[in-house]
Amino acid sequence: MRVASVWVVLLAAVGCGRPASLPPPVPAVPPGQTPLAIVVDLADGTSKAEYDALEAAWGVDVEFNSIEGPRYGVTLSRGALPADVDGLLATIRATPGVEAAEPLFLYSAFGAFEPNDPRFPEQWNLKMANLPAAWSRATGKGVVVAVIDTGVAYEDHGEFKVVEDLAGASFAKGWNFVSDTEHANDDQGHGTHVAGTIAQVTNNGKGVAGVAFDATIMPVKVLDEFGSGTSADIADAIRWAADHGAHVINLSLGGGARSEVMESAVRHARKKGVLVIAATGNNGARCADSCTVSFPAAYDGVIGVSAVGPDGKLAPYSSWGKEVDVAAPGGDKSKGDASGVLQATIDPEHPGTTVYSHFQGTSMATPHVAGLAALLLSAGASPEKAERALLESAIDAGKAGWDDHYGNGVIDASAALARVSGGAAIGGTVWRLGTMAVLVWMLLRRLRGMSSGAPSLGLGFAGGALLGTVGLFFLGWFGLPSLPIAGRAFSALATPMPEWGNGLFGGRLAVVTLSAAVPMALVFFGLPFYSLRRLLAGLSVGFSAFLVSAAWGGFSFANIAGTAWLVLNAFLCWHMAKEVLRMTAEREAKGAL
Amino acid sequence: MTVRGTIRKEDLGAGVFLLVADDGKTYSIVGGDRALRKHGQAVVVEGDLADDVADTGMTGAKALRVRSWKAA
Repeated sequence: MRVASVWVVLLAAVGCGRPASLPPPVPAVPPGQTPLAIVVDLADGTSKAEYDALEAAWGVDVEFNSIEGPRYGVTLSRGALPADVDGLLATIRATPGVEAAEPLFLYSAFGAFEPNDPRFPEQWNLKMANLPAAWSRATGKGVVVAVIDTGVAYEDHGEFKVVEDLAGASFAKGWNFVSDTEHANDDQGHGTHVAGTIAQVTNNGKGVAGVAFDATIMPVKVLDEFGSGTSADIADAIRWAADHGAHVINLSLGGGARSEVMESAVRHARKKGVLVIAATGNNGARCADSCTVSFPAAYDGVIGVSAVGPDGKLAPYSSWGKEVDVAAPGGDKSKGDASGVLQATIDPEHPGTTVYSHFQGTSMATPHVAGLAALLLSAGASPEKAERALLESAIDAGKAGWDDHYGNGVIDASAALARVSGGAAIGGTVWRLGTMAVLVWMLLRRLRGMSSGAPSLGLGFAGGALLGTVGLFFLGWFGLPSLPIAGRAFSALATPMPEWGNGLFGGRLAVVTLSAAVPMALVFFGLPFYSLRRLLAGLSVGFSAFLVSAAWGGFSFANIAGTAWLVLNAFLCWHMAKEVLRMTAEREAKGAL
Repeated sequence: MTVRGTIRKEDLGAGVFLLVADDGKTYSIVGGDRALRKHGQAVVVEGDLADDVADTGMTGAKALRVRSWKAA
């Protein structure tokens, strides 16, 4: 009978537990861009005829957002918005009968999303580095990445024009060490491409996407129109960037000779907490049994990046050696142009013209790592923690463990972020634990009011509850093993279970674990095993706390259905936890008799 | 020093130009002008080896700083 009531809950949830009923995950709108739509909350009970009459004055078509629309008066704009969205919102807010009007800022709830940049599907490199699943956690906001290179097409200045897909990106003041001016314009094309990989304007319906698209680029020119520069200028540039607010330095350049001056500049930057990332070099085709990594990548304190092609194998040009720390996609055009890395850059013959080019090189791999470093820093990691996370989360390639071709392996942005945030991206750890405390209190209060009474909870309950809400985050304190299978397992346990869908499926399927489905399935199979019951109850209440936190303030959905989904599933989890504990208490009471 | 050879363009980054000397040695080219950088062009380059250079090519070739050049 009691078991049956759990089954009823189970079946009820399965019936409404279809992920398809959720809105599709949608990308975050970078600041400074036109929102995808606006939401207008009309007085409850406003009819379609009433708001249709208002539309003409507003110049925008709004429709009820869902079947609940007529009851709650929430409408969503359809079609294109005018350029002055703020003005439109002010007009709408001033209309009698309007309770609120706001731009629709959509956050990806479930990890992976597809930005609307039309050539994003060609960016195999971003998918390889597992970025789509990372963007719900971090976008690089507030982090300054110095691109020490041939310059960047970041401003309109004389014959130079900002490339179209960097228009609207964030830039810090830079410097031109070649001509000693503050205009670090690109006359070669390399630096703009590199900057694009880091912070191409993303989800702007134009061109391509970048790794850390909300990061700030500091353009620093040290290489001339043919891509060469002196170690003295590069050393100066490293110091300059570190002293002018850079958090990360990208060095897609190198030479064969050690320079004491450059090495000391790197030490200076590191001492200031700046992460320095550099290309290992493109000498691979000339390497047989041994290979040398170029400088600055070979200096201590620099993260040396080798390059892989779309197949994940070391690119034929990539230099390798004992100073390789990590690998990233750099392209392999021996397999065709499309196997290069695609970004916007300038046509070097006509620096005012934007072109989209497939480049290859360890130069192209390096900014993937610099961008990831920016993501990790923007998620709140210290430089040391960010460096450790990006190295330790890399997917092992080549020989097991570290090797001189791939270093620790190919970067995995999502896994790296999971390490620094401990899964705290949605809501905060403290917030979720607080929510759980309230839910457990409600649970016990309810049980004490029943004939069964409340059972003792114990370690099994606590473990399950932690796994469901915040993950066994303390595992990270001991350092996670870098072995591929054990590392993944540890990483998963350190992440709250509701977020596992991100890592397992990515994309829309990630919603599977953001529901009552997993605890229900586990209760379904685990209930007959008495010793598992407290763990299952804990897990259920943990899920419940996670889902409540998510619904409350962790992220916004495109419509009310998403929030309703989370609340409903949270309730099912809580109810299930209560039922399991009740059965446990009754069984214990019986045993005591 | 004087180096006779042929210019070769390598598909790295925005394009990298090397000088493949007739004796088989390869140099990365520093300085000079755009006209020098034509794939397949036979040239005689007057220049100096430079070890204080870094570039986008990172091919491991020694850097040759061009003082003057002419088509061969």
